[in-house]
Amino acid sequence: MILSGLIFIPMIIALLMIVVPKEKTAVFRWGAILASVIQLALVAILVQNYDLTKAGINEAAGYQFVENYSWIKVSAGSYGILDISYTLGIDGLSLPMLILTAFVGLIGVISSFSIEKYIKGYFISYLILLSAMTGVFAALDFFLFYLFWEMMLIPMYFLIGIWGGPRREYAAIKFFLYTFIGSLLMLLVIIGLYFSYVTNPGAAPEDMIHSFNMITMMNQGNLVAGSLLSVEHWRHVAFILMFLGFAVKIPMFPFHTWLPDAHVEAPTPISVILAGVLLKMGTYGLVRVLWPIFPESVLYFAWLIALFGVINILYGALTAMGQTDLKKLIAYSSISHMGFVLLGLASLTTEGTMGAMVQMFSHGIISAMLFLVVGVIYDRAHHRDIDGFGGLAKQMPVYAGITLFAFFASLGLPGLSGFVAEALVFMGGFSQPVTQNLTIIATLGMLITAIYYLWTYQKVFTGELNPKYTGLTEINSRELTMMTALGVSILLVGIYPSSLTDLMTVSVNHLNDLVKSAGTVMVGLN
Amino acid sequence: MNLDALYTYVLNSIALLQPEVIVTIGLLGVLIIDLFTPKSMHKWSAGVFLGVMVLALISLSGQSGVQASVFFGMIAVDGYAVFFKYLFLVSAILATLITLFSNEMDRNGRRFGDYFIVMAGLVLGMMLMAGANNLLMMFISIELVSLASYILVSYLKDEKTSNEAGVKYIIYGAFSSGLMIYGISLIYGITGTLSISEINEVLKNPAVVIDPVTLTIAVLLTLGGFGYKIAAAPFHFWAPDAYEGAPTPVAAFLSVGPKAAGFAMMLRFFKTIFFGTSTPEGYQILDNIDWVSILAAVSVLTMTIGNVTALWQQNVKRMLAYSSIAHAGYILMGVILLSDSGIAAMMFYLAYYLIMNLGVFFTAILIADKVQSFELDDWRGMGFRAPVLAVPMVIFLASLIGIPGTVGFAGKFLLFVAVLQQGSLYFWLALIAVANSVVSAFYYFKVVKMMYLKKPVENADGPISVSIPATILVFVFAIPTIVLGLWWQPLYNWALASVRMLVG
Repeated sequence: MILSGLIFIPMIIALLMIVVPKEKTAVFRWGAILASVIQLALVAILVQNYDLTKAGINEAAGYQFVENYSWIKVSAGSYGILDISYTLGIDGLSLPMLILTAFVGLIGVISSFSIEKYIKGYFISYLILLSAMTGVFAALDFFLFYLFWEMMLIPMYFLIGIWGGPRREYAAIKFFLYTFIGSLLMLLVIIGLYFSYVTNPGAAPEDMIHSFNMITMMNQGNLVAGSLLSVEHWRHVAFILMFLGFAVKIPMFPFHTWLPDAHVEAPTPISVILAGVLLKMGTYGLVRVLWPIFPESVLYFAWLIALFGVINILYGALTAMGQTDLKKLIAYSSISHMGFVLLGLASLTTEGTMGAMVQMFSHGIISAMLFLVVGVIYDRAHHRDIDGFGGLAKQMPVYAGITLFAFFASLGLPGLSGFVAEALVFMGGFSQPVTQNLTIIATLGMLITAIYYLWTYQKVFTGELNPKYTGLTEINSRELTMMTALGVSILLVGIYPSSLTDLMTVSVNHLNDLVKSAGTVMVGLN
Repeated sequence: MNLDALYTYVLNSIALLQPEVIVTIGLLGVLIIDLFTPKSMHKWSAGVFLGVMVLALISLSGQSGVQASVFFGMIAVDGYAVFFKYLFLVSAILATLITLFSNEMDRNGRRFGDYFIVMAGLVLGMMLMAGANNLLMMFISIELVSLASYILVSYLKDEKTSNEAGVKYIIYGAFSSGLMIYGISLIYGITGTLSISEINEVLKNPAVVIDPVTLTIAVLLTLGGFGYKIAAAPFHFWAPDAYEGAPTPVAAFLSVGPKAAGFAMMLRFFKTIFFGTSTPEGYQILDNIDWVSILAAVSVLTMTIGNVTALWQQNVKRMLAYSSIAHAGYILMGVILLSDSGIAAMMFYLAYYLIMNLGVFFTAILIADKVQSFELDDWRGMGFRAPVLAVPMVIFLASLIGIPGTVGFAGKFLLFVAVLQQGSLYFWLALIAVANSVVSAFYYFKVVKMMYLKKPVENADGPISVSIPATILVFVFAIPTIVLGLWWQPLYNWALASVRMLVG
């Protein structure tokens, strides 16, 4: 029940909010805080009771806090039985993401206190979004996963579209359509998978239970002979289609164009959620479903995925260098950093996969901090033009220090979480012949990242103080609280990575073994 | 057969047509009551009509499991027909409620009675369409529905647009009827019978040689009649004009009731005539003509034309008309699959389409009643002016797009399931449908954008109050849109069971 609680408490509170009159703003704000705090507490209980020795991935018994109820079960005659279940469970891949969601979710709520208009609608949308994201990270049934995956579309559309910046309409619908087309492609593959896998292989056709359970699909023994996805080239097609669905979310070049628009127009807390949690849904999808279900395609396309990862790293970094809008710069740096996840996952080594997982978490908290940093200055100066400031360190020394910390974290300074992730990714990538050369090229990305962050810092904080901004107030306690919480987490993961990696080691290793062994066996299938 | 036996047979037949008989008596009842009551009581006819519909529903509930062919094979009473009859009666009841809440119908203070008389005729026609097992019966029932529809579309006789819509509708309708009856005559000429199961026997008989070209032409012509009823391309041109000009409750009803009837009849036509014995993998199809490819092309054409044209519409009513064309295209995917699950998905989709489409029309009616316009620009800021209407509107639109957690998704999902059940055979069709769904998301969200992302004009646009009963009715549509979207097992089971009870 604890996972259901984790998922649905924000939504229940959101539904209760509907009957509250819209003038009572405190109810919405503190109600959202309450929802987030409960989520965080539940996640703490999860971590407390989590068994580090269980792997999960393709072993149903390895999942923890499992909830499994039959949802829809229809006997479709000669085609067997259609079985959709409400299945939740977590393993080493999902637990860090749940921690991230609850944590960044709370930061987002605190940051949302600066929202002034339509507060009721805002918090209702926000909490539904929070429920949907949590659900994605806990669902083990593909149908349920897809439901949560799509459930965030509409609240996100409103959050960008109503509370966003000047070009919010364009950004909102662009985000919506990009994600929607990606997820529809995913839906086709989900249905294809559903026909190709059964929980009781060998049964008579009319008794076969076609299930949407992900774990069923990860065990190739459940493949129905002669079905669509038992044909090798159709498996590759399915892999590509589903990969595209996730790639839009990551976002992978060339499907990234919605991200800068969405980030620039979204209000600060939504940018925090978007970069902090939403992008991770894409890469989480890769490790949760795509890698274990299509191991042979992963091996087949590994170099291509790595290539796109490196393109992401370099393209994002180079484009970031050319930005004058601080928020856009950070949006492109997000694209660059998500490239590391792709590279790490493509290497299929313990270090690489672990690096990718750490990067997902680390980028989640670092980018949240970066967007808060931008939010602070935007709230005060009402613009984000990098060239329009100068000398702010004199006016806002604490803020300058925090910004420097966030920038350093993002550019991979040793001792902070970003470094751990990127170092692991490089180690993994370099050790494999497939990704070796690409990894060498990718290191350039770190250099470019350092260049644009330091430049930006120089332009905004050093030099003569722009006389226009002598009235700017220092960062306030609410903002400082959020920054401190994020900063401490970044330091913790940076100095003592085991606090995070211990949760994942067993699962990550199991995932790699599974992909390599199953993938090699399956090459040449049919 | 001697006279006594005949007498018993007819009585038995009538007994099996009890719901239809009730509707017929109701038709006469409304007529008489409307004649003898003063004008101040003219809304009573609505009550009588509703009562009749409920009675017919009750009578229909006694027919589960019946599988019979009555009046010498003219009409089939089977699970398949019963499923659709439920659909028609429920949609008639809901459409009546919508009518009562709309200001459009009594703007000029006319009596209501005639409206419900025609409506009863329409319902009767649809119920006969669902069961018609004979080409002549098919034609007569389709004509009954068409004639009633013409009258309803041009019901607002003082308004030019309504009249224009009626005329356009009649001209297209007459043309399609002509095509259809010509097609039927050819089929009769080839096979020597009008009963569709006997036609099937003739086609299956290897001793009878049939010219495939003539048969193809005959089927294409007949398809004209069906295509017209379901507004499939290229017989869809009447729909936008008729929907836009018709009173909105009528447009809402036409987009669900007669459309479902058209599908019901078309499927029975193809399934009975052109199938051999069914096998576990699906049906064995008689290879006289390649009607599957023809219908696949019609499906693609219909959904694409509907969606792409809807993109340019600035009038909500007209946009919904094109959207309803597009949905016919999706539903057609289920018809061509030659599988139980395809037909069940089609029936399922039609049932769910009824909920969401009546819902979206009703909400649009309520909004348009307040702002006196269906133009999208006049709806700006509606999300802030009337949240009780705008929130359900978003739910309906999300459902029409097919966002998970709504009935629209459940319908599309099962259609995709049925399509991909055929392996890679119709994969291309699924991809086209996906592309279409994305296009449709864009125009449906134009409405959402206007309601929520555009601010209301200061001072001019104040908050809008909506009456409590109207709000309740909106939620009568909105809540099932979500609840049934998450819990569709019973309906799907029912649809599957009904397919198996199709009298062949």
